[in-house]
Amino acid sequence: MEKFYPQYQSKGLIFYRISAKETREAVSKFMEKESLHFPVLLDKTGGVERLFGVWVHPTAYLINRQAVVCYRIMGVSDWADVRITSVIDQLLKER
Amino acid sequence: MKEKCFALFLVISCLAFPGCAGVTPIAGEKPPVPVQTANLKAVLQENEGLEFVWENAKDVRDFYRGGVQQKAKAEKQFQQKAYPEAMKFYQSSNDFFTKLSQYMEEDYAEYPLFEGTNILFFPNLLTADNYLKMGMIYRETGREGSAQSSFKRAQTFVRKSLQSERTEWGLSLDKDLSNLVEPKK
Repeated sequence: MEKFYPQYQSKGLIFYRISAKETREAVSKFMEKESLHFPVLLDKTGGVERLFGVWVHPTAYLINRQAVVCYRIMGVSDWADVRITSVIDQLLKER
Repeated sequence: MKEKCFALFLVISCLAFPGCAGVTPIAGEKPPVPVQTANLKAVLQENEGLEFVWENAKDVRDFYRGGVQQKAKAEKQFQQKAYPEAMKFYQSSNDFFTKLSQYMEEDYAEYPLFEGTNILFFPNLLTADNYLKMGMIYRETGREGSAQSSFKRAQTFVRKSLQSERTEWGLSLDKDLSNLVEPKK
């Protein structure tokens, strides 16, 4: 993900990681340890997680320009996989 | 004298033990889950948010969420007495739960979604409640025969729910249904 993101950021992809029920300190520590740099939002109460109906960690949602959730990717994924990049390319093409 | 004492002891025993039966809980039987914990409002709230449509549902949890969300829509229509729309959503809700029942048959007051997060999981009880409301709509629109078969279906699902998880909510529905279902003639 860390390698994949800069490549797609310039194409218009915005990526947020949401951390549920974790403290800012714990998240910072993890990011530092793993040398991760993309933005993380804190879902302190787990409300966002509940609203999205998450039941697997991690779960990724691909949201298009019209703010419609188009795809859900459950579990650890290879973001460089062509099945994922082709979907992202397609969504980025939409206006 | 000994015989009199034994007889007296026997009489006292017979009087004392039945008296205690109602006081001492039967071993292993838990009190029902209180209605403050498991109720329709709480279930609907837990499943608010990103809507699941039939085509996108992949797992039992998706079908559960979809069923609850359709029920939430049905409840809104039911309260507004928009009966045809309510019926459509109740049926759709039950379609989700029917699909789910092919994989999971039990209700749980604390279904572990993942570590540290449990949800109320009541597909049977919600199906029962759907059939109860559908029956009420049939009755309201003068279709007593359909109402009765709907109430009977509701009763089957409530009892299935109570077998896996005893809840005050379920017991109350069962009581309501016992009053609604006509005895066999």
